[in-house]
Amino acid sequence: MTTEKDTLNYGPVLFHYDLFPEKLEQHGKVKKVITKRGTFALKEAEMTEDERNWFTHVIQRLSEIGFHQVVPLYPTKFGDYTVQLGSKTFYLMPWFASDERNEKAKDEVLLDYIGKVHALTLKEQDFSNEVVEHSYQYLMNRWENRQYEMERFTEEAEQKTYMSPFELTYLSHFHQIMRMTEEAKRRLKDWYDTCQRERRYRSVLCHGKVSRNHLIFNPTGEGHLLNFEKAVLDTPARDLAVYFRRVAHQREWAVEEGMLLLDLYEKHVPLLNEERGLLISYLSYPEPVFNAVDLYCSKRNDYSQIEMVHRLESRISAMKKIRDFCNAIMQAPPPAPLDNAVPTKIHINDEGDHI
Amino acid sequence: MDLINTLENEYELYGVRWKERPHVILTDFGEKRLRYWKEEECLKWHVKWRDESSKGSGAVPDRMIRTRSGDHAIYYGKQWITLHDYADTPFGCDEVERWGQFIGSLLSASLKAQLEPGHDMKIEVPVFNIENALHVTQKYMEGNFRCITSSIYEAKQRIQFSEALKSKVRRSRLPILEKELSIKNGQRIFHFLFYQGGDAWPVKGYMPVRSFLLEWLEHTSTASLKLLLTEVNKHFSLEGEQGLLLLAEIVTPWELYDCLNQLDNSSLERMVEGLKKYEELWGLNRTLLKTVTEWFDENRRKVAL
Repeated sequence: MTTEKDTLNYGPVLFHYDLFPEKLEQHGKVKKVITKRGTFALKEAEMTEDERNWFTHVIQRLSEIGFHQVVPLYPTKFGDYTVQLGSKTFYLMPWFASDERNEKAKDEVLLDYIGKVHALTLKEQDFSNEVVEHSYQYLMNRWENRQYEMERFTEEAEQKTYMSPFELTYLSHFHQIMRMTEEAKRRLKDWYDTCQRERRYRSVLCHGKVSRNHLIFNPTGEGHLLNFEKAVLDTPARDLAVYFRRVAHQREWAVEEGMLLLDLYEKHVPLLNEERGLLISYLSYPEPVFNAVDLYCSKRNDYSQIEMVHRLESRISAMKKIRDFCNAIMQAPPPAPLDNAVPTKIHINDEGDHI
Repeated sequence: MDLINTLENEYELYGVRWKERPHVILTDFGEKRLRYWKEEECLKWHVKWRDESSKGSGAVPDRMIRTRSGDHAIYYGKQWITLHDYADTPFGCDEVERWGQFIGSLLSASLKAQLEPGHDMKIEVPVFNIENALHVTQKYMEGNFRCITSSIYEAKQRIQFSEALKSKVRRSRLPILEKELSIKNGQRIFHFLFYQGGDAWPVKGYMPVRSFLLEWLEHTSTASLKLLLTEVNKHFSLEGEQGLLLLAEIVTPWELYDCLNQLDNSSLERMVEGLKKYEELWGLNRTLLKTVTEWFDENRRKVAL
């Protein structure tokens, strides 16, 4: 039901499209806008001016380089692709109803599309010691600081006479978690050493938030990617790590399925050895477990102990699956030689390249 | 092809017909306004200020609606034609924050490099000339009317003060603005301020803002005027050199011309009426000057605290 308040709130945005809403429905972070002219999806986001410009550039560039499976943005009547209202940014897209028949195939289509986007934007970067050094040091420092925080939490818990169930659960897995942390750091160092030795690294256009929720199907059943708000030029390992870390938390997810999807991706972009190492490094770092500890420390009154323990155990269990997945990646045969396998290299943007 | 058909074709509109020929049409997207431009440079400047001042602002100027090929105008009958939204519900002066935001955004945009005019631009740079004013007053001076003699004396002092303010400004550029900035151009669409701009060549300096502040004072109160300045200051700082330039413009006795135009010595009755209007106008501008000066003083004290 559309209220007068909704119309007043969204009217100034929809005015830019000459649309008058008959009905507005909230669907997650998107408003379904029903008008006499059709049904649309209005997304609200927080973006700076630079982010807005980059976002619209990415969408337009993807189309120019031949990737059309992106949910298009409608321009306003003034030719803009976003509407800025105060601190908020809005953009309008066609509304695609969810098609349950395609849910099963979603992961395959998603990894296939991400592979295509990466292949179309793959670029071997001119080696910059400064960039590699900065990326390595930045991540390593962040990980070590996080590790130090977790060690401090452990020490404080150990000093208690009566530990909470959450603390007990955490402590019983502590050494295993620290082993994962050390493994992630070791792999990151290996990647850094290889980059220094080989004097190369590759970047692609990363979606930034690879998730099944960001793939939808149009009425003809063709998948379309959406939400490129966090798109960035980075190593291909970034998008893969984001995706696999997320799906590993699903109860039914299995390592074999992960390997099949990785193979599917590698048909477009076979990973270099150091990129595989970096992917393993990203995946191995137990950030989801640390986040569960953060939540326990900051919001322990908002959730019961049982909820907190359940959350922690589920994350530890996912990390175990990820460890098995990483082992499988290491044992997999090396990728096909680059010369035959790398698709057309088309670069998106020279500015802001980083790992 | 006639204009209506051309508009339908270029803007992908249906059922277009005249509402007020030749400026307002009815379309399937509602009422739209047409503007006609003889000079392309002038049109380009108007596209820029409208586009720039709308960025991030809760107020929306009447930007040029793009054609289906993305152009901001069509060339028809040896002139450029632009299409704009149209509204006729006055916004009024109650929502001072929105006006402040609009004027602030307008001033910020006008100082951006992109709004620098092209070589062919005809920009009016108003210059106050006291000699012209004194020449007109000559025939009234014999009558020794107190309001005229005192206002001439005050005007001379204000010119000196204005020059002193301007001499303090070292680096700042003057904004380039639409000649007419008026409350009556503010319309309401939903709850936002929709500002219908003009199509004249722009002017350099704060004269349009000065006129707007005077109009605001006429419609509201001194307290509301101060509030308006506070709101403008949130979006465009008046605490530095731009504030001095605005104050210098308000101190300059521009109203002397208008006051003198009120005078008419063709009959005693008209002379008395003219003098009354002279006094009223001079008084209103004095209140404007006093209020704005007070706001600057109060603001300075707040900053000092």
